[in-house]
Amino acid sequence: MAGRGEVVTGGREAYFFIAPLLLFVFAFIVFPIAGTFFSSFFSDVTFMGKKFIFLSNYTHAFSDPGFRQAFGFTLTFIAVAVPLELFIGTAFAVILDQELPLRGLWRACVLIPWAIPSAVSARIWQLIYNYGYGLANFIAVHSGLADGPVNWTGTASGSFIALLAADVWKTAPFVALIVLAGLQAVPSDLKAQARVDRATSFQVFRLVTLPLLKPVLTVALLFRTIDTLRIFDVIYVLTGGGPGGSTTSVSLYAYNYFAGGDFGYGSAVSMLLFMVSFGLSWLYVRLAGFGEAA
Amino acid sequence: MNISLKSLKKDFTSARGKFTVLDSVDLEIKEGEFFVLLGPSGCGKSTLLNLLAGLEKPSSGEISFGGTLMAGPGKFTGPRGRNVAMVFQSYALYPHLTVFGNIAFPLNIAKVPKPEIKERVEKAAAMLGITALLGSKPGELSGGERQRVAIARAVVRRPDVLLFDEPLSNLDAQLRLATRVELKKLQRELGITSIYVTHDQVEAMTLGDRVAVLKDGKLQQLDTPMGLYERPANRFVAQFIGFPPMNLMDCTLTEEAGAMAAGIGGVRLVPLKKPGLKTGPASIGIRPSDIEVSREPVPGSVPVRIDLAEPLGRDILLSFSLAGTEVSALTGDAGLTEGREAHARLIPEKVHVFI
Repeated sequence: MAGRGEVVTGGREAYFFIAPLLLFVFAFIVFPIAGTFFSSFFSDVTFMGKKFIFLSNYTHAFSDPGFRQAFGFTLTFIAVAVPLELFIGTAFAVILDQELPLRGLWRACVLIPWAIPSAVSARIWQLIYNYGYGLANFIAVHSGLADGPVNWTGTASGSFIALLAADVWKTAPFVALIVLAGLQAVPSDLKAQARVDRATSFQVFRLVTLPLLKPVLTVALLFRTIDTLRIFDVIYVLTGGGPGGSTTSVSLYAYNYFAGGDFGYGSAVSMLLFMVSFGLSWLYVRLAGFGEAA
Repeated sequence: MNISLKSLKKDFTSARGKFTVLDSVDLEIKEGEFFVLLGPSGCGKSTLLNLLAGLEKPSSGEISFGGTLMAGPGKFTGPRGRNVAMVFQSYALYPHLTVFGNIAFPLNIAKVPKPEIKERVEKAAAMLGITALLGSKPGELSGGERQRVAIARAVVRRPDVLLFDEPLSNLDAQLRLATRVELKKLQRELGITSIYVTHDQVEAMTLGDRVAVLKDGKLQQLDTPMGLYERPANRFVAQFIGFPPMNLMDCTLTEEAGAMAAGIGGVRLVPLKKPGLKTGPASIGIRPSDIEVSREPVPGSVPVRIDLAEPLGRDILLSFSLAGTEVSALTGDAGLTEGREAHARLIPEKVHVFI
């Protein structure tokens, strides 16, 4: 490192320059997480004494039927919603990858749901699912799919389907966007070669395009899984976690405890969610190959 | 399989307007022939190859394989209906499959039974000397090895027609030479009608049984390699074929006592013996090897002053001005150095006249 010594030994100056960012990271990320972690060891309910109970909040969570219900719902929702999002998103990406007139316009249209804030789109879906004048019941009744109006948000299965539609509608465009980028990275020569090798259009997709999309689909899968794991806003607006807690996600469950003044238990639930998210994020970083020397 | 192209035309429409990439091309390619499409980039040769593969539809005209119409008015057979294999410039190996998987790909599509696939892939690999690579992924191979895999994948199908799109251009010079020889041998051995696209006239000359020269979507000339060299149909072919390129000179044809001659600005350059020539402006072409440069004047020679002498090994490439036109000539006389006065004579029998 001769000749560049001054620069290399300036480690202290380097910290000085990144200090604003470090400050931000500490204030808004590290400190809240550490704080939550710390709180999770206490029995800390508003107007009641704060008491160190170490892991009791965690042991309670594992036997708490409410937490189990929320955790089970969240996992079930991930298991159903994420594959659906990937399938629909990929299908849209394949359509948008074709030589269509006004392609730019179609692409923009598909992305609109992703651009609308969740709380706003959830309100729109709330109108759609309205028992008396909602579009969902209008279609269900007039198409003959249902004998009478369906109480969408009043039953567990109805709520699940309602949330599923709202969530997939909003997030499939995100999948479409990254899969489209992946599709455009597939060399056209390879597809032409497969066609000359007498593959049908479907075989070209299944045997050439899809395997080459695998890394992109893996990224989409992990992104969507992590994101769905902490699903909150759509549920909060549309069903409020009901009926009877059947659509309460882990995030919403933790939120309810915070809102009720039980900071200790809310923190413990949040930490459990954080740990699962962190594990998945770590997996994502590993699979995507970040930080590896090229 | 013989291939017939009739008034083949291909237009592309883009935001900037309509382009004619191929314009009324008529060709007859014979069974088992090694046919080369030669031309500069953008001449339409790759488009012609795509039309033959069925990857693109012609705007008009007909393509027939062995007498069966593949593309024509109201009829179009895609790649699935044609038994055509293709080797791309990029090799287009499937990166997620092993070498075995790549070579087996067309056979899997054709639903060939597994034991037969194994046998045929191994045979094709042995023929191209890549047996040891069957378990590797394309990413682990060198350019030359990838090339061989692409060729193995093309021949394993036993296609009726083999198409090559500049397959040697991504190889280094030495490997290109060796592969060229092998490719020609392989084609002779298999006897498959092959169409080879290149912009390299040396490749075209050495590989082709016949060569079609294309420029701006139009067929310039179709002949054997030696035919193109000896009887170029126009100025473009004359300059495109052969190295160093043919000298072209704008001159005037004159007639004296029933004998035609070409001259520039009053300097009589060379008598012309070709029948049917008319007096007036024309171009004459002569290859550098067909200009004799000597130290002493000879009958019919013109005095010149040598501007540049570039040794090529066996020959020396001389540049000088001949009646105001820069020309080059090959000589074996090392005494003809830069700045020397010399005498140049165009061999009359070797002069080409382009009107």
